Amino acid sequence: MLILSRKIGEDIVIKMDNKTIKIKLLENQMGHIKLGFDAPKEIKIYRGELYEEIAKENKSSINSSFDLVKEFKNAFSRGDKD
Amino acid sequence: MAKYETKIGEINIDNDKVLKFEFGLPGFDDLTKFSLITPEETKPIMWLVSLEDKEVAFPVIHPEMIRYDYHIDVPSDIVDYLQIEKSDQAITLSILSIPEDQSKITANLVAPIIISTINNKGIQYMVESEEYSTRHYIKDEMKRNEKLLKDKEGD
Repeated sequence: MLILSRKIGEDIVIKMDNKTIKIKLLENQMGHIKLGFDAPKEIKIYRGELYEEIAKENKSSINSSFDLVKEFKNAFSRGDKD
Repeated sequence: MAKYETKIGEINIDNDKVLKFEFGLPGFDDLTKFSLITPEETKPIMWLVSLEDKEVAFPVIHPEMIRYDYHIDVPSDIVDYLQIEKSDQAITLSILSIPEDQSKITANLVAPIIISTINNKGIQYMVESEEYSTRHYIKDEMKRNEKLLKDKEGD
């Protein structure tokens, strides 16, 4: 891992082919670091823990068996009839 | 027309009807070809099945069935990517996790699947929202819906 040390207001530039991503250190308060991102729209930026959480949920979802789903679908039909 | 082995059985599908998830899904970044299937036996729950890995199929449902006031804003770059002009040109779905204990069934409302009926492209979009999370217990949401609907009737 490349480690860079930055002060408030300074930034880091990442270049990949013809794309440039700029990350600016905006604030550092009581252990909370605020970062600003400048990147082309097609580059998606996520909070790491959210991405990992979604990956975990997706992996748990594929364990749902057809038979369990068949049993459970009735939970939704009740509300429909009203 | 091509034949595919999927988790919920063999399906035949026209090549131009295959849903393209060019960015994959978190946890399944290499899978890009899917189909949305609605078996009679599990309606209203549908299945987003991988056409490349027959172990992978997600039970999905319209999020309005979990929260009838469900609402997300889709940013313009995603709208452009999906080539949608009106909201009825997109299908929004929530992934369900259905373990054996029915009281622990959850829906992911923070990362819905959005499929374009115009170009058959799909993505799993991450909503920046405090309101939604990856695990909403269905039993709690059903109670919430009932309460909201009752309050509405009272008006």
